[in-house]
Amino acid sequence: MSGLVLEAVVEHNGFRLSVSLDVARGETVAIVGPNGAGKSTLVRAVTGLTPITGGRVELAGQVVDEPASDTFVPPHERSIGAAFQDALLFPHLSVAANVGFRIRERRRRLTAADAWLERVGLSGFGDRRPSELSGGEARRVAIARALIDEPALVILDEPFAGLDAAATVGVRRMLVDQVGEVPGARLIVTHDPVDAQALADRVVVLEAGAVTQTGTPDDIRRRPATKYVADLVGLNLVHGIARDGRVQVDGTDLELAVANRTLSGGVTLTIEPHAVSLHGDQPAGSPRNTWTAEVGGMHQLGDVVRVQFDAPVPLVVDVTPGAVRDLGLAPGRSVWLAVKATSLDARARPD
Amino acid sequence: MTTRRRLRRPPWVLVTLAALAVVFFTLPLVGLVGRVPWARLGTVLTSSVVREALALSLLTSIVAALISAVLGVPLAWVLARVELPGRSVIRALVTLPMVLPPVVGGAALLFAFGRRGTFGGPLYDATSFVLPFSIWGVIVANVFVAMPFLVVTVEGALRGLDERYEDAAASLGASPLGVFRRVTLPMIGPSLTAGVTLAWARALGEFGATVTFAGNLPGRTQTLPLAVFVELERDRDAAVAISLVLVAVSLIVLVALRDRWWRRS
Repeated sequence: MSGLVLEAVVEHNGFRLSVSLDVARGETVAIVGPNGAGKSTLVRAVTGLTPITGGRVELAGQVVDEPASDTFVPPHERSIGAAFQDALLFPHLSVAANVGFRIRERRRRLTAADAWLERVGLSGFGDRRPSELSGGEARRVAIARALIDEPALVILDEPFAGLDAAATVGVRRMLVDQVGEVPGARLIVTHDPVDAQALADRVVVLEAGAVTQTGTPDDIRRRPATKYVADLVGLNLVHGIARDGRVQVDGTDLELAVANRTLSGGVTLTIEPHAVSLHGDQPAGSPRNTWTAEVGGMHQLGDVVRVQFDAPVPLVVDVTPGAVRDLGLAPGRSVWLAVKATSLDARARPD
Repeated sequence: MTTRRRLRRPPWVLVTLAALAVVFFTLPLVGLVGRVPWARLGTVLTSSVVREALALSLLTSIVAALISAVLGVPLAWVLARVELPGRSVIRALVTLPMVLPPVVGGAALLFAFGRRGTFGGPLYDATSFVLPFSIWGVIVANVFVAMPFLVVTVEGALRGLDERYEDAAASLGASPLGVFRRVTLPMIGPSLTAGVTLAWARALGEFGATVTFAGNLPGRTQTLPLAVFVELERDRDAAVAISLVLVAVSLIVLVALRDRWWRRS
């Protein structure tokens, strides 16, 4: 049986979302996108809180929303378990009653709630009130409430939003263990590629109401299709025109040699931040692309320093603190940049 | 040299004015208690007039508060949640009794539901049922003036309630009525209690609409406030004693509920 099949247009307050998406049973798909991309609208359309204006939503083989055939199944008749940002636990109910909210029959509700509380690492919390929980505990309860009773579709909307770093680690580990255990389709909405990497079989990138890229987390990380994704995963994305193994970078005089000599026309280069080296003088005697640029800004990123250049090509380069000292790197300082042709991952740009 | 500790104190202007307000509320009570005929209190309070008025007042005010809740909570929900074209008109209509002199409300009720009234006439011809000058007349008059307080309180609470909780409940399988019953109503619980209490208190003290619509028939429509008014002319001690009962009943309920509100929130 299929999970979620969505081919829908939602027009709402001047915003237009047009998305085609399917999530198989047993598959976890992450929706990644910047604020305002339409992630919340998508969640509301799938749950039925906002009716779609065109197309079709299908859940577990049943059409649940299709304006053309005047079909609309209200939210409570869709087999969905959803966890929202801010947990939204019902403050007047005990933790167990919250977890078992989807189950009407009392005895089964309590048994199932206890079992799920144990699975999310909160055994014995059943009688507490939501107000007595920490942020991370509340999020676990909200997630248990969504996963319980085998819904056809589980939706986790920003499961880590607003949690501190320590709580995020714990909740993420719990999710990695538990999400795969529920049989239905799983949809995780996040703006953090690390979550997508850790949890999802497939990632769908949503920008300005449309899907801009779909692929495995590795695909997305290695070959981001848009600047948003590239920035997200810390990769540089450079557009240009290829001819005879050379790429003329758009809007600059810079010409870069690439390993692939067969490409021609519009291409996108992906450059990893550590593939670029910085030098005080022009490096000689190696088959490398070199050019000069002024340091725009610098910030510490773990054990490396990320140096940012704004012109001629916007680029980030990771160097060691030692290199910063040796080269006397500082904003405004002009340095030589070098990158090997083989480090430039070029591919044709879809036009 | 030592500096005196200068703790943050509230501004004396505000404190003085607040104290003045407290005095303003306390003095009438003191005046009332000062006139209580302690020696005769037992006899006055057990007289049939007072007993009947007390029973009638408690019964009608409680029934009126319950009717206000049964009709008023759904009305508040509709006003807060449903996009109606004439919503502001409806809201004005509902809150009108709060600003209208109760006597005018009572007169309007009489013209509508009196034996020769627009709706009361046909009703009487069909069933020979007369609403005014009966215990039901008292209750109707009470509901008319008391329900707006409940509607306003509950609608405010519903507007303040984060609708995402209701969305969450719906997407966790609760039907619209289920959402209302399992999430909306419990979450506005304290405000609902406040609304019912306000409506009850308003009904208990109702005078103008009741006397106009239901009359002042001892044992049938004479509630405690009406009894106070009558006894002021006849037997001042009795008036004071009944007033004392009204004050006591109101205080007991308010204090009891106040305690529960604080603990809830």
